[in-house]
Amino acid sequence: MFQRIDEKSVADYLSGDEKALEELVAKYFKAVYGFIFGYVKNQDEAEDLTQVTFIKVWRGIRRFNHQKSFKVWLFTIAKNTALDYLKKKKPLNFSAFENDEGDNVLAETLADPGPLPDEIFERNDLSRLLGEAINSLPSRYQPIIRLYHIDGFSLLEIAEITGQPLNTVKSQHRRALLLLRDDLVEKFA
Amino acid sequence: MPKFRIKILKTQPNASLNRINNHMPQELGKIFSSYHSPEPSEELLNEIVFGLNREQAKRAKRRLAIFSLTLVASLVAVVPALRLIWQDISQSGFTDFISLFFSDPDMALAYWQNFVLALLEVLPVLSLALFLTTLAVFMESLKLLVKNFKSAYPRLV
Repeated sequence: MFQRIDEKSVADYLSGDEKALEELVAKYFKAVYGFIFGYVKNQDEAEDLTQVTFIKVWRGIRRFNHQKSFKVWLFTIAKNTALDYLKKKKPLNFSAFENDEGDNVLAETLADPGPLPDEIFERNDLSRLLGEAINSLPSRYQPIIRLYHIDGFSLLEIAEITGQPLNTVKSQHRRALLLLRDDLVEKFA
Repeated sequence: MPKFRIKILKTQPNASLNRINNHMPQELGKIFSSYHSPEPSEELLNEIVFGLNREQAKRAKRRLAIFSLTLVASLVAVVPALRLIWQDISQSGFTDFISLFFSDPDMALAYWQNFVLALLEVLPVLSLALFLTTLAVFMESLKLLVKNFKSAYPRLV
């Protein structure tokens, strides 16, 4: 199928071609979902936030700067949507689960986070191992690894999306790779 | 067993930083190519499109209300604007010059520069601008009303 350049699709939509926006949604919804999922780690929340992201895109599409990349703009909105949601979401205080005797009910019901011996043998799924390794990275590194290695953005574009200086992104990417390497070496060993 | 094995690099801080750029990207490139991003549910695309259509319809209904008001207001304003322009034309002598043109066109053509200047001088510019503005608002409101009606109620059109 003929793929329109994103920026042209935006221009077409603004000229009255309703289908152009639907094409953009179809092209990017999975990538945006995967990116947001990296932040919220929950399918339902990631789907809701993906929907919110595209509504924000539609609302702001007239303000979109045609000199810039639509994909970068879209992922910037996705990042802000996810971060706003995480800011609003109040974290549960672990101590709230303590009873009068001081025992933590949650701690007692939680499973041991370490893998069971049988599970270790079952964990030969490379994709899952990599997903786990990415998720175990510090939260500020995760989007950089995802955007660079999974979504195919350049470090310059990532700097634009995350609103950080390019050198910071470069050094964070390097540190993230080191951590990822150590984690994967440990998992593969 | 995993398909790809990672080279275990000795953890000397400077060496690893230098070597990571040489070794890791290739290794990671292979690993990331086998990585499956989390997949959304099959309905997500339809839900997004449905959500966008719902938002578009909501916006169109809001605009429908606004443009209905401007349409009625401009319609109401057109009548007094028309009266005002008629009154100004009759008071300014504009009609006298026009009738002169029809009664003695040779003279009007002979002194056409003076005649045009005289016409421009007596032209009721203010009331004419007022009338044309209200007319433009009316036409634009009507156009946007029809356009938003189509978006708000696509099944009725």
